[in-house]
Amino acid sequence: MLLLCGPTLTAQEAEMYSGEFRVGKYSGQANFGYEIREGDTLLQGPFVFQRSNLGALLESGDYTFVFRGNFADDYPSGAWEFQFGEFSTDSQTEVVDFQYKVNVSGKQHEALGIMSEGKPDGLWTHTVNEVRNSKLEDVLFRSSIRFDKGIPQKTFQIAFNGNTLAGRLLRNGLAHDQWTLYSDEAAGGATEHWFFNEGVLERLEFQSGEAWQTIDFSDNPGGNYREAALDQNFFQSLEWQLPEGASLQVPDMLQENQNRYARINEVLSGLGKSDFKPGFRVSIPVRDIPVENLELWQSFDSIQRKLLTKTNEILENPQLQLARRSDEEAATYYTQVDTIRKTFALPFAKMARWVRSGALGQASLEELSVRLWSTVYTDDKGIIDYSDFSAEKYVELATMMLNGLEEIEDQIATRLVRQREAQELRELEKEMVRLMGVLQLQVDSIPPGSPEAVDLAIRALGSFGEEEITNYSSKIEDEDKTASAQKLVTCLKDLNRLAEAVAQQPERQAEIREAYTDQIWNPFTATIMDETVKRRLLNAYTDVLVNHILEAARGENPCEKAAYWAQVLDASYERMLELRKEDTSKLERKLKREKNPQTVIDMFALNLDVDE
Amino acid sequence: MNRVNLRNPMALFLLLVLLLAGGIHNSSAQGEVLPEETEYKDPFTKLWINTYGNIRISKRFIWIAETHFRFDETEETPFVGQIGQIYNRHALSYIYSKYFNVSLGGVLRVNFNTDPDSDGRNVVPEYRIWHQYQFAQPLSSIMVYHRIRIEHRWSQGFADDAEYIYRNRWRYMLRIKVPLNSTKFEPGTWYISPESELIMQSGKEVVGSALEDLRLTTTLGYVLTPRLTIAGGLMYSQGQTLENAGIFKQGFTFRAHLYYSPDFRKVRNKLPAIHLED
Repeated sequence: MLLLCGPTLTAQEAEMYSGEFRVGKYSGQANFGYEIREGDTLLQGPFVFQRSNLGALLESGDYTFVFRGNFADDYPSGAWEFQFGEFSTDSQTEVVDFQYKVNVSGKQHEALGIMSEGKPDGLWTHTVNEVRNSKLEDVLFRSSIRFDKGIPQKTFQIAFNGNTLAGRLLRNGLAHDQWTLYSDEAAGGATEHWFFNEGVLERLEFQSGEAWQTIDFSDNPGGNYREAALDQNFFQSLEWQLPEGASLQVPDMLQENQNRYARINEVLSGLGKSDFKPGFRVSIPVRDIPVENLELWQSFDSIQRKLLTKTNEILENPQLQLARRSDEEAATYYTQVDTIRKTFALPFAKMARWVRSGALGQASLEELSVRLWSTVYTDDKGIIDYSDFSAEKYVELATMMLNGLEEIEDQIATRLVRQREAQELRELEKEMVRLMGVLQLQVDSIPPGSPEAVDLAIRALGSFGEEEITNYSSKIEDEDKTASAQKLVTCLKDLNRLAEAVAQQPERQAEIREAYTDQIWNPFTATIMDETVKRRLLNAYTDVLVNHILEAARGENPCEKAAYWAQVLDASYERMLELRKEDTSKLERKLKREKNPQTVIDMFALNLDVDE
Repeated sequence: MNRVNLRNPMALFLLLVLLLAGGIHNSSAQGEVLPEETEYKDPFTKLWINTYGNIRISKRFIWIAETHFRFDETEETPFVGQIGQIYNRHALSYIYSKYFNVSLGGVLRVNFNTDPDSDGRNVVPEYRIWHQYQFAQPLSSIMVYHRIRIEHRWSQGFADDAEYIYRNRWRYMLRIKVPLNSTKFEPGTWYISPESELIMQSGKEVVGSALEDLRLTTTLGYVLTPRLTIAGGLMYSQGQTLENAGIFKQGFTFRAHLYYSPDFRKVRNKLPAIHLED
């Protein structure tokens, strides 16, 4: 796909483009030639596309690239050079020969080779260098492969991660002869030998610890072969034949090489027509083992994924992690789920992978099953009959496990809820005791000289709280204990709030009385006298409202309305101070002889957010 | 001079007294023959029911509205036998400070003929212009009051052809109020209030009878609210009769008083004390 961000290309032959350009995720400056032929734009001639940004480099590091080569009729051909860099700098500059020199550190991937009709032709080398202060520090990756019109052949070398793989390919790209992996660390040099014969993998020798293991594939029955790419799928299809825990390096090396080629293919196919890949091939034995019911295997795959995900989720649940340390039941559930994971979920995942990678076509389900379960049940001495293991059976087993797991999950959830409830109850009871302490403190610190009604009200609230706590503690364990505790905590909070409001009442009433007292001059005595103003308001407040609440506090169940009364006391105090300044003649008339506290509350238009 | 007066009420008052004193005649007895010795008539008994209204109309002004109902004895009934006078006193009072105020106003008194032997009219009106200077001073918990009241009085007899006579009255009252059950006056305070008032008179018709009345009163009062006080007591009074300076009339009067001081202003000046001196 070719995207041009510059001036429109016109229908003339052999045009040159120079300017801003973008291909896929790469954007920078480009210079190239092109032609328009039958309405199509064909790249033609030299091509340069590059980017580097000094500002970005100095700021926070820069990524750079240079793609340089030739196109012929839209196909990359001739010599090509690719560079991908990621650099940062310490911003130390130096002027050398009228040029600023900046030291950079980072990585650069460089690929060089020849293209023919969009395919690699001849020797291609990839190098990833690590650069420190503009000096080569290390070679992180290197591969050299010879191609003939896109088909790799002869010998190749890939070096990566301290390992070097050397091997040979036939003219048709099939793996052939001995491939050897040399390790810088291994004593004898080599750690893996892969023996191919015209693409067929016959033997694998690899170092496992100190010892060498050999897997012989040559005695695999069957005569037919089909060609396939030497890719991760091929390695996965081998997995069932490898011993558990076998760690091979060659697949990683080839994957890394594959990634490097893919990166360039992305650029080239974005520009024109190209097919840039390593193209290693193998021959896979084809056995006439029917792959039963693909749909069943797909369903098995999705069930086993659910099973594995769910076991992971449960085992990673932090609540369960905590609970299993203190709670035996939770610990049992944890162990059960862990067992399901190890003995079913992981093997199922492996089987699904084998089926996906085509191993089931190479081996019978029985063979795969034996292989699979032998790693789980190491002491199985042929007791289990794997011959009747079918796709249905795997689906059935996985479903059963998933159902069982879901049941355990429910039980765990219940257990965790109960645990949480117990924890909550402990917290509630702690809070209860604390609140009662506060309430008792309020009783003990009733200001001396408080009016009797205030004193009695606070004491009554204290006694009621104490009584409720006694009631609660004498309750036998019941289902509603949390609810009772919750209720009692709320009650104690409300009692505290009311007690606090009541304790403030003498002070508040004095303040209100003072606010409602005018000093007036009596002309007959020529003295100043205190006069109560808006007496009806004051009476309604003191005699009806406050008195009622003080009495209610000593009533049967003060908790019911404690929060409401506390709020009424707070709000009415504020309201009385406001009313002093307002025109209240109508209100005073209405309050005449009003004895109902609720009516007074309504008439005062108190701002309450607690419902009665 | 005004500035001096305003600043010093006592100066204002003295000035007025000096100006007005010129009107007092140093008259001698004419017509009637003085008795050898002073004669005292039998005490006359009366009941006064008086209402005193001090209606606050502004920061500095009070409307004084008093209505008194005065009953006289009859042959059969002492004190309350018959209505004697109905008395309406009004004035505008300027509050200079909480301890001094001046008032100026008029009186309409309705006199009823209480003499059973009289052939004259039953009712005659009497008019006065009056002004008053009242001082108060605290003394411990006691309050002491000095009241100077000057009245210009036009009165007439009941006879059909009676003409108005003009007299001036010079009144000074000393009154104290002693709270009984508290150290200050407040609602619920009982107080006792002895007072004495000397009423002098002058005018062409006043020949020798300068001492019109000397009133000695004691009342017991009770402060109901800062705006309502009730009081009751007994007054003994004596004074020269107008006809003959040698003859003194006497009287005992039961008095019942209602004092009220409403304030109808919307926004009241909360501080009653007037801080002119501060």
